Amino acid sequence: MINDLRPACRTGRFKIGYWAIGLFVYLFIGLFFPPPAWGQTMSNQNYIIKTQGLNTISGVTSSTDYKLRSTVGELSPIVSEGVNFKVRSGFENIVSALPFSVSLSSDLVDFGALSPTNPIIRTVDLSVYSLSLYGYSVLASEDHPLRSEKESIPDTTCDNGECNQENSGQWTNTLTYGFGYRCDNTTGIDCDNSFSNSNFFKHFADISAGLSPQSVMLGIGSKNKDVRLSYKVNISGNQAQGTYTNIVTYIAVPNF
Amino acid sequence: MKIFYLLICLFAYLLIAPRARAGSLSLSINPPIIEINALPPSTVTSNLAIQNKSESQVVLRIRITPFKAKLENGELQYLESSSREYLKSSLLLKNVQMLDNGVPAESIALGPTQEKNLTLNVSIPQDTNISDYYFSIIFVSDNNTSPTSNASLNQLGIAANVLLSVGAKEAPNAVLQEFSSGLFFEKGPVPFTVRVKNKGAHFIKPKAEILIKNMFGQNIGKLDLLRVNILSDSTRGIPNALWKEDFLLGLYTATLNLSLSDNGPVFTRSIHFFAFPFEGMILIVIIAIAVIVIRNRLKIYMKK
Repeated sequence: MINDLRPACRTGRFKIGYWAIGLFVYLFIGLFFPPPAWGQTMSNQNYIIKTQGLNTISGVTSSTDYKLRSTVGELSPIVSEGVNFKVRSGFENIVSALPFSVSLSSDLVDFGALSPTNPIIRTVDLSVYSLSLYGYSVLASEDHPLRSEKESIPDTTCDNGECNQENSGQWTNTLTYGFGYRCDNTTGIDCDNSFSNSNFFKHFADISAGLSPQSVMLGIGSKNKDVRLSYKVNISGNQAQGTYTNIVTYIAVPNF
Repeated sequence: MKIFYLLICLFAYLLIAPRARAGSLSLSINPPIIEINALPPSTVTSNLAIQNKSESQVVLRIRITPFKAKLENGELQYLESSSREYLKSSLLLKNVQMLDNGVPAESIALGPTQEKNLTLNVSIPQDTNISDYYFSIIFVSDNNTSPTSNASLNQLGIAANVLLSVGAKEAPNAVLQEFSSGLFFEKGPVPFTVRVKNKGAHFIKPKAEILIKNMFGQNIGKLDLLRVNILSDSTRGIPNALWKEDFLLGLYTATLNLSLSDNGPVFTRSIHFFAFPFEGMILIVIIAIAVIVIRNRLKIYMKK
């Protein structure tokens, strides 16, 4: 009898009813009071910035058996609009919003003491993390040839006297003097083809002579690219004693 | 005795000269490209993040340098300061600034692994020529090392490109210069060459697809080509137009649908190519001959 006086819903018979009511309330709240969508929009009186595609999470997971490309959110680019303008930032179809990166292993290439007809070769490593489908180039130049207070070591013209900042040439003769460089692929094949012959060198574009920077590596197609740049200097017996220096500048430029 | 020790120390100091410091440099930039369409007068702003990824502090000088297309692959070439194009661009580029916390900056210092968000600010006056302006924002490390021996000092720079269209966007004026592939293939993949020349005043970003049909008229392949920028008065080849199908047999028709903008105009062109897997067929013929020979030998053997 006492049991019968308990609310019907607590007897167990109406538990299903409770569940149904709860589900109905949940759906009702869901339908009419939806939570705000986390769209990325910023605005003030002068502009509205609509983030059209920003990957919340994205990336590629792979193993020997599978490759999973996961993307949560939309893809680049980001679009912003103002009163009289529209800006689109970043490339389309890049799965991850990847920055463009470049690294150089050292800010100094020390040749030490130079002795005549004894070539010195020193290396530096250059790496680029590029946007695979669009490509990039790295432009290089020197502020002037290696120079002391008194005189310069001229840029090499190689054994045949014809290599320059654009065309390479063989440089093996120890009686060929000057300063030059070559590029060897470490990862990828982005060094200029003209370096495919070992012992082929060029010299850097001399900005003081009005020359334009030249690409030392350029590529498209995969993300990590590494090259080794070898600087070579060889002096004659007539070269004056002194400390010879210059500045070599590398600029990594994404393709448009 | 003290003087003796002092002399030894002095001698050791002179012999063991301090080595020149050599540190690595590493930079990243995001976004690598900014496309702007603006009507004068306007002031355009956009964010640009630069990061020093090395373990040492770096000072970066900021340069704004105009460029043009160098080749057809999207590679660029900086303009000579004496060129007419440079002078034309320089009128507008004097109104381009990089702002660091709202303050115009010509250089910035970044600590180890520090990232800085800068603002690109372009003021476009009312009397600006209706034209396109292409320039890079270049960040170059400063190297003030004083080497004690013969040395090359290295500086590292990184650039982001800006494509600025001033004026209302007109209907694109471009021509499909080339749509081609080889005539015969033994096997895939099949590379296509697509080259578009932009004859208009503003850069365009065409949308293109290649549909491939077999000899029975069935659609068997579709390539969505990469949307690339084609600068005004330049030609660009669209990269990665590659149909990655290994086994090919028969006559194929590839149809390119090229839309110069989201609103057209649309160009359509078809080409044909033929494929026959000679190597595979030769192998099949050799196996067939071998089977026939073995079967005949077996028959002869069985009769005996």
